Amino acid sequence: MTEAELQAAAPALILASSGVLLAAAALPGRVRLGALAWLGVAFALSAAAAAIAVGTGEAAFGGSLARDGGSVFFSALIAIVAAAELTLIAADRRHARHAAGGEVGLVLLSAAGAALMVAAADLGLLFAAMALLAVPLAVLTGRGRSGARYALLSAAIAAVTVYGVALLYSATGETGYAALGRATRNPLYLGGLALVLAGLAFHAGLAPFSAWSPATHERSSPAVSVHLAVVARIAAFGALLRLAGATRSGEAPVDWEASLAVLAAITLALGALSAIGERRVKRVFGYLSLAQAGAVAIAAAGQAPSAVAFYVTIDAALTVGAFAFVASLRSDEPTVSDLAGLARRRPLLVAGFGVVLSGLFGFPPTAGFLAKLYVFEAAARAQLLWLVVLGAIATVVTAVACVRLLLACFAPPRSDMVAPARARVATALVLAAAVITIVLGVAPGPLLEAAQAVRF
Amino acid sequence: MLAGLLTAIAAAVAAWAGVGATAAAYVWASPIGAQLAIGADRSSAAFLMLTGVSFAAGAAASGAVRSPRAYFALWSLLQAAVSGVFVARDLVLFLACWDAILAPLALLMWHWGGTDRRAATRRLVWYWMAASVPLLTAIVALGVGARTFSFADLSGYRLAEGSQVILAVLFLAAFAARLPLFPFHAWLPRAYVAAPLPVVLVLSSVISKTAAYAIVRICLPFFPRGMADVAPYAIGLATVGTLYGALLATRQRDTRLLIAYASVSQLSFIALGAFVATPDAVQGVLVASISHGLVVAALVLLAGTLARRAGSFSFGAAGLGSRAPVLTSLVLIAMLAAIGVPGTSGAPGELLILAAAFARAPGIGALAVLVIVLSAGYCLALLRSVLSGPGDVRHADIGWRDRALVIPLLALVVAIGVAPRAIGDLAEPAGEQPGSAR
Amino acid sequence: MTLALVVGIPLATSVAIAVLGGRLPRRAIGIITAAAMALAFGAGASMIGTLRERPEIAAFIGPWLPLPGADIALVVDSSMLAVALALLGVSACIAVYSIGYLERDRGLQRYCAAFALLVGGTLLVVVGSNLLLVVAGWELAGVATYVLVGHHRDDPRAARAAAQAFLFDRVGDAALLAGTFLLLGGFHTVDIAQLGGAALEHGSVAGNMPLVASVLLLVGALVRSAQLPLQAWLPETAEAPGPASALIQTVAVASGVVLLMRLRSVVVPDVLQAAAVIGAVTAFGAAIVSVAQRDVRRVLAWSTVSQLGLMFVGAGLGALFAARFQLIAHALLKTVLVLGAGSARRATGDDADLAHAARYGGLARAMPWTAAAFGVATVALAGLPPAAGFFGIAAIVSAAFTENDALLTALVLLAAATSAFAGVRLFALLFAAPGAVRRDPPRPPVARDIPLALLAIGGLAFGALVSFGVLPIGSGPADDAPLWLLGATFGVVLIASAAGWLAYRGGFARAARIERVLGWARGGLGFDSLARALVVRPVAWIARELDQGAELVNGHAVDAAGAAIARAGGVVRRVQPEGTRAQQVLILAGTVALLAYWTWSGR
Repeated sequence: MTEAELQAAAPALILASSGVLLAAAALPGRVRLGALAWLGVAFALSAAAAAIAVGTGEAAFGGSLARDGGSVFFSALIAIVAAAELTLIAADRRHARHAAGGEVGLVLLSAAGAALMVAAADLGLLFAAMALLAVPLAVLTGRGRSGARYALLSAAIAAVTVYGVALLYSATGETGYAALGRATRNPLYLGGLALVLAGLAFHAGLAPFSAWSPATHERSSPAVSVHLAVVARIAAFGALLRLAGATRSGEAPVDWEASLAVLAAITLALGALSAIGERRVKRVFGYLSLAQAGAVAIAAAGQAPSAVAFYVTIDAALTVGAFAFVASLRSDEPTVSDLAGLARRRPLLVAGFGVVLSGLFGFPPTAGFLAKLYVFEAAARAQLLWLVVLGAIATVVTAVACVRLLLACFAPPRSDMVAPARARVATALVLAAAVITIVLGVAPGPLLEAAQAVRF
Repeated sequence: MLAGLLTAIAAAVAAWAGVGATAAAYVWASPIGAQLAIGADRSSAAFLMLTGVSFAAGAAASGAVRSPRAYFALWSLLQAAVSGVFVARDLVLFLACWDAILAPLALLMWHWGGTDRRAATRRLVWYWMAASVPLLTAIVALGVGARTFSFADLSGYRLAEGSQVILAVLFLAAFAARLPLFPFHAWLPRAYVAAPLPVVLVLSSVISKTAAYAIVRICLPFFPRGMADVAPYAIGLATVGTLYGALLATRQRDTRLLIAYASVSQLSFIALGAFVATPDAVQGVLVASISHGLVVAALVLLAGTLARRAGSFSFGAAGLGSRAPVLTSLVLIAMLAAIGVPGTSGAPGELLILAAAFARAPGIGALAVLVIVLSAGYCLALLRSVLSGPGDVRHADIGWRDRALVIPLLALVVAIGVAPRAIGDLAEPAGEQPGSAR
Repeated sequence: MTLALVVGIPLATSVAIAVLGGRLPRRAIGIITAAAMALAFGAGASMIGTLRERPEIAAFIGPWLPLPGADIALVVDSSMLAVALALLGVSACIAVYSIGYLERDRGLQRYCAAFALLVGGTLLVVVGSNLLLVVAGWELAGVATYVLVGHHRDDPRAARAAAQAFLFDRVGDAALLAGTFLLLGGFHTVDIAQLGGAALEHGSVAGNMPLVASVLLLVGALVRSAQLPLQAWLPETAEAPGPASALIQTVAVASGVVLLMRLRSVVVPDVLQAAAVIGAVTAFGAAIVSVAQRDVRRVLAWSTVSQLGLMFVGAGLGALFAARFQLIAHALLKTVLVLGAGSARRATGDDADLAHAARYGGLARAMPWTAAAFGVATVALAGLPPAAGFFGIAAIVSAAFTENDALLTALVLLAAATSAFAGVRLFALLFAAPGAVRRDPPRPPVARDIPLALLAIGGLAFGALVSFGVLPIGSGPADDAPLWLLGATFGVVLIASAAGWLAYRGGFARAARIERVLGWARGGLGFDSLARALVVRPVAWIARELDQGAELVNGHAVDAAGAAIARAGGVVRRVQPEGTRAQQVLILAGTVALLAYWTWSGR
């Protein structure tokens, strides 16, 4: 590998090799999960540091692996979120009892796939990266019925994607994105794009391709939920923006807006409406994350990579915070009524949780407010005012769901309840998310500048 | 108690500091075009003073609440958000502060409210959140169209008439729900009954004024033609609301509900002035807003005092007339100020708005003037419940704390009534703005 | 600035008593009030000299509202100064009387504050330079009336009467304000002098506006001066303490007439004519009702309504001197009557029913001074020369006659006759008629008799003083009326008075037949129930229906919308497939849809 190639692949390489290493280290079964996870955190953070350190530059591997603002920003973000997930794994004592140590490695491997996805400028590489993202995930979610379902569905969508890739190849004769711009508008080409879009929508969690999401979130550990809701989504949107950018520039520009806008609208409505009235906390967050995906799709429909970048960053912090909150609860599958009395027993946790929830429905002064505004502004610029209206309504509906969760924490405790577990690390994560949300809401300047650099 | 006192002092100091505030702007989120731009001209200063006075009075009246630390923390947050609305010079910052009011307000109601507080809070939250949808949409659309969110740049920006109408309607929808303008007041009666009394005080006194202020500050200068096109319908609603609120107030048998519907009437009347939108009318709006803020603060405090004596807020033959002369006199003065008797601050605003309404259309003026008779109806209903009846000999007169809170408020009310120019001149710049923007 | 004192002293006194009154000894409060009235009177009197040299005195005090002409400014000419002086003088006397009357009353502070407020407010109507200031004074006086009438707070009848007075007052306010703002819209000022000029200059091109505005202003005046059909509130104010009742019936009600006089050049002639007719009808009708009353206080109140009607005739016909003269004379004399009746009531155990009072009989013996003053005032007000009443009635009769309006003249004469009859009836029943019960009630203290005597003498002498030019309040009375008309007037009132005396000298029992005939008029003029049916009930009905409908439509609609969204959430959650096969189908369907759309849109 040349130096340029090494630089372009650095984040993915670090993530993948550390993933293999840690998976292998876990094989003897005597290694403590905590140590493995903390090691993984270090690797993931170093991958993020590497991504930022090498910065932008020429694409490598004959133009099939980009190293532009988009890939740098998103791969760094993916690595940081992966670190947060591993922290959650390290913190999760219940987890330690029945989980194999391989989980740490799988998370890192999957993150490597995600990092490759956002940088891939070649259809073949894109498909391979998607597989690298999805296969470890299938294993990670693979406990119980719903886990097998995710594996099944993701295999099916992989087949759809590969079919799309094949169509595109047959339409352009090349697998590089550069060729896409030169393509003419023939049904093979457009059909191929549609199928790839379906595949990406699956990982981004856009309805109706998100049918797997609620049940999978319910059965998964918080760390895996974060991976599904954040890492996979970032990867999918990164890839989507790159693909859309490539096809938009050519002689026969392709209209992504309509499909994305419709997908965004369906997802928003579905996520926001389903979240109210849901009893199971993990599912509520599953639905809320659907609504978040819809919001990102609005920005994507508005062709605003910067808005997407800003939004997913804030969303990452919020989602980590939300699932860290879940991790801090004693129950494995908590219901809303289980939250009663929490405010009295763990005021700090609930305060942080309140901030995170406010961020989720875009309440000032959290960064969620600015993020929503940024997204809506992008939509308005693209003449998609109806999406702004829908988004605003969805915000209100989400708010109801969020406020309900928060108020549940203030309900008087029931007598038969056991004291909540003391989960210091998870609480710290919730508070960190809350602080980040507030700080970025008041002083979003640096992040916004970084997001400005996101181009494909 | 101490926390309340400290909060009250802080509230007053904050408002005082705000009066001297000059404009400042920090880049907040430049890609979005949002600035942390704040500034206070004289009309903002008047509203800031009102904010300080009301929040200080409310904090001092809070007394011994449960979990005072959380209560007063939320209380200060609420004041910060409200003050933010009055000083924001950027639509994004305005929106942030506007929405941020809801959280502490709802929590205060939810946790410290009386009976029915859950349902009342739920309705308030639903209503206000729903109202923020058009506001958010309109602000985004306006900001994108004008490529700026800053008030200074927007006042020079000319929109097409069609867009002006749409934006005016969207903005007004949000402001109408908060004011509240008839028929968007469904949240109000319950909230007035369910919320803790100090919260009712600031809700009615200041928070409602954010809407009146916003109409004058945003709608009139930025969409003058849109507002002119919308005006006939808006004026109609405001007129109906003025009479409707007053009519319903005459039927209430609960002090808080009477104040609630009277406020619907008076706030609709203020809105009427804002929609007529001549410079005189805008002056009237500002004076009437400040006046209603002060008067209703006094009234709510007095309602609390009365309720402590009678044991409930519902009307009964309290018979305080001859046993608590100071209390009843204060109620009388506050009520007279509320219905705009000259010599109190209620009159100048009312007269200016009425004059403007007559100038705009004598028919509207003729309808609006009926409120003078109807308001006497609810005024008398309340006074009768307080004054007459056999009463209870044990009733003591108003205590020193309530006296110390109410009398300065009413003194201010009378002072403004005699010399309204103190506020009128204060408000001049904003008063000119809509005129010059045309 | 002396002019400012005339209004400022009463208003400042009111505020001072309201704020500081609690600290002062009880006696001091009453004395301060009386002294303030006297001081204001003195300030007013000191301007008489100046007004001999120039037509009017104006005082600009400060800006008020940012509307053209709406400053705090005062203006007075000699005729209005005379009215102001009369009102202040009467007020001072009533204040002195109040000191003793309310000696043991717990609400003295409130009473005195309201007393001064009423005087100040009414004076603002007399000397305020613009209509908004007039309205302000008007409303202040209305508030004061409310407080005074409701003085006995434990008495539900007083509360009802006070509320009614206040409501009527606000109706008047609303009409006045509407008229003012119409004028402001048409003539761009609210200054009364400028309005007069503008009405002359542009009145013809202003369309209907001056007419409508005039009607509205007239309605305001009708309310305050208790003219048909808006008279119902005044008789009820009899529930007020005696001196307060006197103040209301002399000072407060004067504002309506004063307003009409001050706006004579603004109000269109047709409306002025209508005011005269309304005044004549009211004068006659109210006089008849007055005769029929069995409550001392109501006899006097209805008589006031009747007298105000006469003033309206004068003001409406442009006989401003006549109206002014009658206003002043009535203020002086009616005060004597109300205060004297108050003393008599005190003596008979606060029983206002004439039938009961008559049983005591012969109060003249027990309280000779009071009886004398009352008698003099009765005769004077009835219109027997040389007392003031005669000059006033004669002036009004001749004004009506010069207009060649026979009906109006006849009505005024009838009203004067009936009034005289009613007045003498009251005096006879209260003081002269022999009663069944004999006892000696305590004599009223001197402090209460002195003001009566002063006022009675003033009432007697006033007419002569004016006629001989000692008091400069305008040109002479009835100069151009034929002598036979004066004679006829004199004859009519003389006959009526004599009839009253003969009929009631012997008490109720002797006049049972007359009383039976009069019974139908006892309930008033019947407009109350009409107003109740046409206005009050419908409004109350609307309010009730709205109250019930509001929560139903608005509140429940909102809650229902919320519930519907929550339900929609449940539905949406339920329709999402849970089974693997179904989810597969859904995802494939989505894929197919995308595929179809993209390939189709690409064509």
